[in-house]
Amino acid sequence: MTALLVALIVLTIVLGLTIVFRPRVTRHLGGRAVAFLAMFVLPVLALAGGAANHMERSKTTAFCISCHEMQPYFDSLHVDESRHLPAVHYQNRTIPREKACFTCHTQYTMFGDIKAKMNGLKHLWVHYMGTIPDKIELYEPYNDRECLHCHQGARPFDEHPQHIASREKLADGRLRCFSCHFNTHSIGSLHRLKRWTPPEGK
Amino acid sequence: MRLLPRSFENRLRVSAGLIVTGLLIALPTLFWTHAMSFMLFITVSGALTGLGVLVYLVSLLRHLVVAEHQAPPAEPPTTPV
Repeated sequence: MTALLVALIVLTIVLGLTIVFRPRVTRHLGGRAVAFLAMFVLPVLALAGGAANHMERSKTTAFCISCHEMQPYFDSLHVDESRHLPAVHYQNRTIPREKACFTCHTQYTMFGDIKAKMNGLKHLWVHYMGTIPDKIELYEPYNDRECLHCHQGARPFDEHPQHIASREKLADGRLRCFSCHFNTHSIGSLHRLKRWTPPEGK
Repeated sequence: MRLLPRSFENRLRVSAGLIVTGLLIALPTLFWTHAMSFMLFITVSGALTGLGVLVYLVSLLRHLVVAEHQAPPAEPPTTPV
């Protein structure tokens, strides 16, 4: 996909440069058609393709941690502690490592991805133009829906004795996922926790 | 064949220049996974390319309007005898 996009951009640049240095080519009908292609159709396609490419890459873990304030959150994925929720998900590959942040921090609703992207734009604005807050917090309490998107219907979830015992409370919201699974990123105590080092190249 | 006015060609060059510059900036951003790359693509590359396309469309429109005004007047209809 990226190769195709690069080819499209290179072709547009070559045609564009032809018009810059030899605008006379547009005096003929064929030249005018090429100009329309090079200066309207291809650039619009290149911009749309580029935007889609960037949107897709903005879901990657590498993109999220390119802002220094996110580094502790990435470090927390390497905590060697079986009850540390983000670390267990990351290390056991229950979420894709290359999209670790986005997988848990998007909303699994119709416009969830768009909302996540709009929030991401706000984050970029604050990162480059504003003041980064000392404590980074979620916009709203973490919704169980995001956990259940993967866990609901899964055998380990459905057959867990405590989940069976508290099924009604879970269903009517009296009990939430974080009522029991409260070990999240724990940024404050990160320095005290042992780290897991992934094997080379993993 | 009637030649295109010089100013139209100049506007085309400006437009093509903007598009080429915008796309030259867009190209490396596709290989750099970083928040800055996203910002460069959206703000600089997107703005330059978009502006180039806009300049092209406006100059095309203006050229069409000017060509319309410069068209020779239509022949008066011949009255039947």
